[in-house]
Amino acid sequence: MINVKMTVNGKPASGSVEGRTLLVDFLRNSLNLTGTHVGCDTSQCGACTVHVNSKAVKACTIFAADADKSDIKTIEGQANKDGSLNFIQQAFQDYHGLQCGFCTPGMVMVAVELLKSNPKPTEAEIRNYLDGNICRCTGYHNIVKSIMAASGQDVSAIAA
Amino acid sequence: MGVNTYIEACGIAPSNFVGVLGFRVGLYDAATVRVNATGNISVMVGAHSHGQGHETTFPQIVSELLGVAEESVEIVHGGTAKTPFGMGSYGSRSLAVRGSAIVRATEKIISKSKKIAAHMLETSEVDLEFSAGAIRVAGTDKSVSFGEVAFKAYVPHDFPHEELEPGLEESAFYDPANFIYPAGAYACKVEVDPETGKVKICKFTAIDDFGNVINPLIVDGQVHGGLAQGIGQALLESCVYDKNGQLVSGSFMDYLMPRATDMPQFTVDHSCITPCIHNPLGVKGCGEAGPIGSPPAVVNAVINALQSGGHTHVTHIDMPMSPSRVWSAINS
Amino acid sequence: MHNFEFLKPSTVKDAVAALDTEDAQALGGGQTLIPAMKQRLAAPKKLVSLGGIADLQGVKISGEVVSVGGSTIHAEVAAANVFSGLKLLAGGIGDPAVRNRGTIGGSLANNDPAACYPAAALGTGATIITNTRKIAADDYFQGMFTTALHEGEIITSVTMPVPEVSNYQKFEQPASRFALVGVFVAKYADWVRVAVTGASEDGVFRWSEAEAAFSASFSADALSDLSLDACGMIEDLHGSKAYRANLVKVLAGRAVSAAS
Repeated sequence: MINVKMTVNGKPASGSVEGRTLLVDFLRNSLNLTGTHVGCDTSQCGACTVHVNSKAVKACTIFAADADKSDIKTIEGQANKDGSLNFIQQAFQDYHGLQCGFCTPGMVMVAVELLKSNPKPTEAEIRNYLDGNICRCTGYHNIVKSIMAASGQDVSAIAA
Repeated sequence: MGVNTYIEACGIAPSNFVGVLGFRVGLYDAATVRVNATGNISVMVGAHSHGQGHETTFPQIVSELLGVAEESVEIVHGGTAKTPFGMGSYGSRSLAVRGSAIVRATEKIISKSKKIAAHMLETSEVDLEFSAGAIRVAGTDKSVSFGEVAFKAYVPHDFPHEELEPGLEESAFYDPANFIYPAGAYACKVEVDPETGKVKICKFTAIDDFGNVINPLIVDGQVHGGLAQGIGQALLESCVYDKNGQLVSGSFMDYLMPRATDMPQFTVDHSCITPCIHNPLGVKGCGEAGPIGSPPAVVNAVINALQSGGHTHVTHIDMPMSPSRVWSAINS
Repeated sequence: MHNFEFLKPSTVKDAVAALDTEDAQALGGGQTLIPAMKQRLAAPKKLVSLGGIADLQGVKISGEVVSVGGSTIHAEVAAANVFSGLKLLAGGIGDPAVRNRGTIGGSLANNDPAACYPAAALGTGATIITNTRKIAADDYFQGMFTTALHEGEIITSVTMPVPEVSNYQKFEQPASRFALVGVFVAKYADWVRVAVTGASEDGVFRWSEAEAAFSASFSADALSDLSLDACGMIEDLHGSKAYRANLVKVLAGRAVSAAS
């Protein structure tokens, strides 16, 4: 077993893992942070996306031991300090950016990273950035719309 | 450019009809409306909600009928230990069949409320009107609120128990008189790269008549997802087996799930409203419209694009119209 | 997934020592190796992560050469001020989250026949530098998933001569985001290199007829009399041999037209 220590959503977290323990399993099973989902387990769907040292990565395709000493952010750390939804989460609610919600944690984590580096992305830039995130419910329409709205852009021209 | 129109038979289904077809089940659905002593309402329904928005739409129905806040209505689903026996969520039936069961159960609640109110107001229930969360004696200012009735139902100190049961909870099973028939017209504009066979959807418009619409935002979302599923079927998705029967599209490494970049911005509209004439909500189904209406529109658009580009020999391409299939058709 | 011993050394020397046992395997970003291990297509007894070695990180641009550290992630290369074909290629690998983990060394050491980086390395005539030697790209790629690397040898950096103009055209396999076919074209003062990935059962290859044609005339028209033999091309559910051969020609022409 390997002892790991990380900062998860601003708080110290530690545990003992096997070499093969994936980061997503450590987060979900050891830290009980089940907001990060496992969709495909083959690194395609993006439901498990978290931030490792401020970079969006698929938590099903990184070993917990490889994330030792890292700064991890998950969907549980995205709400505002008062517990209210952050501006991206709020936009997803306002613009019906989720239906079953399974892909949503990953979508939000990717959107957070995108808007950090590109505060006013075009529709095409948003769609490209979502390349590693699969949604079966929404046809992506309202996800794209939510992210555009979260970036402060007028979405009234986007059709229903 | 490709166009497709459709009419769908869904909202399944009249039990007597499916019985004739040989189904070994009835296709009714069920709801129990429980008004608690506090006035909050639990609605137990016979189907699971997993993103269709039952928790949003069903309270809207109860709220409108009873004149109570939507927030005070809780939907309970997901286990027959707690819910009446229903037939599930599929076939664009949740609102048309289960929603109708909710209406029927809520109507029974209104009827029972009038009985209780009649006792409270010392009048006959036939003189009472139920509206906007209150029961009043018609033509007077005498009334009791729905909340007072609910409380009284569970604190029945002065009920004439032989005539009036305590409690305010009703169930209904609803068996539809007919299928429902949503219809629509879909148009799709594509660009085909003749050198690679790649199809790009430039614009997609879906116009549907869903009858009455309870929640336009949810209906939009259902259509969006359905369009992605239909476009996926037309261009991307298939289960492929090799000659030994081995599934070779067994993971998302090879099964082509639509991505955001594969989809255009959609235009959807359901302002053409022809209410269903046989269910109490006047609703038709919206869940399957997208995947029914979109594949032919996409296929027609691709064939039309190829023909107008001079490839007049191409009259058919099997779905999914992958780049290699389109390229092969052009070069056949 | 079978369990294994996990080590994350901070120097190349320690990594080389750690890899000097049977069934030990170096781990780059893991974007291919971890899925392969989940399917038990790979089951190393020891994994040595190269992510903790500072010497293997970063992009250096000096004069006529770009040098990329073996553990540099794709996103960093895509964000760097490197020549356009390389920037385009690195920014188009997988998806954003994959680009935040996957590394150039991992890609080249694995040599997936549909990976993008082998096309850049072969298309620029790169030098693959390991802990023990320098290997010319022309000698390095030895067929699908096969390279000149010895057991336990680590790619420390890759140097690429900066072309006058370059471009990479990738036709994506839409599920995996690998290249169904990818073509890298680089023009130098006296020659043109054309490297093709995704297409051949032998992995990445140089299309020498196209190189000769582009060296004579650097335009898509130069390909008009050429055709690529479909024999030896990959065939799978996403495309036939003939389709891939067609894509190679189409993409090579587009790469030349778009080269900057």
